[in-house]
Amino acid sequence: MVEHKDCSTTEKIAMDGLRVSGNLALMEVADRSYAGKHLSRMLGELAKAGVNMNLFIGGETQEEIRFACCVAASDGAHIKALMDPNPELRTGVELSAAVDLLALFPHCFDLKILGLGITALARAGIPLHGFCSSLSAITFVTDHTDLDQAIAALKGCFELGVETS
Amino acid sequence: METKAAYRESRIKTYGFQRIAGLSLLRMTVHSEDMESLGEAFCRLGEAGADFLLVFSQRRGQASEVCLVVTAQWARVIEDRVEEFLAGTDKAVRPGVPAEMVFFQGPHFGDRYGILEAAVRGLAARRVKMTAAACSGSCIYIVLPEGKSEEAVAALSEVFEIPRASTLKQSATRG
Repeated sequence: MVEHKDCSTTEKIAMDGLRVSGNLALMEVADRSYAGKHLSRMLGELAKAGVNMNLFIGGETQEEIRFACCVAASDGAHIKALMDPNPELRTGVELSAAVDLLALFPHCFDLKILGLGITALARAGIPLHGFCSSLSAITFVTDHTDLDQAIAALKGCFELGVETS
Repeated sequence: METKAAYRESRIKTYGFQRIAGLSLLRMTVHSEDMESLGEAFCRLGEAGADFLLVFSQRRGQASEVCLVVTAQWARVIEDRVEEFLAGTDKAVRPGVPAEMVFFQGPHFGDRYGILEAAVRGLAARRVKMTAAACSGSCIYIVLPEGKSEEAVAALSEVFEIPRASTLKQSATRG
């Protein structure tokens, strides 16, 4: 039986920093009807329109396509204009209210750092839209309205060298 | 007055492809109320020395689907620990499936559109099915079923430019 140790009792872990990216919108796509070609087509349309994705998480199976990506909030209207006349593309697409990306680095591929981040945000009652690792950072997607609270929660667990935005 | 600049390459540059085999993809669906327990499970696993190569998570209604790519040696241990920490909760921990991964980066990958689309298009052209893709910085990760990473690298090499010096590293397999 594993002992349920409280991670909050451990000392803060020193991290190089936390980078905050704001003014973003989250686009979530979940579609069972056009699986197979939808992902390529959707990404092609976004590329043609010059829409950058700060984050992408997802994939497709025989049954469905499901992905989430963060785009500049200013591209939201642009994306809606792309999708609206095209029922094939707009199926299952949702554009959320403003989100932020909180990138904590370096994660050193350590599950403890990931676990502490998830625990801190969960304890603070902050809903996560998603998260994703890269070579050095773990990036959490949170509602913009939760930004200050999310930063405070992470600061409760980590000694952050630099906070940038 | 606003000035907009765009930079296009006929063939997108990369610093080369990294390929890792012998991995396991763990998928767990956890209710948002139980994320704290999942975090605690990961903490304990980290304290025991477990590491990960890639993690990504998406929301599914009131739950989150969390995918962890780990070396095969840790897969069973992680599954068991997560099951223990989340015992009695509404969750689904699927057994790890053998997986491989290709990842790559290039100049300005973090702020340019169309790079993931080129990767997806390149894979589709060679009929290489990926399991998932994730990118949140300057690196694009592609998770593939076991035995598919070499084909994926070949397919991607037709779309992206690889520097000569790193071509030799292309077939190097870690893990």
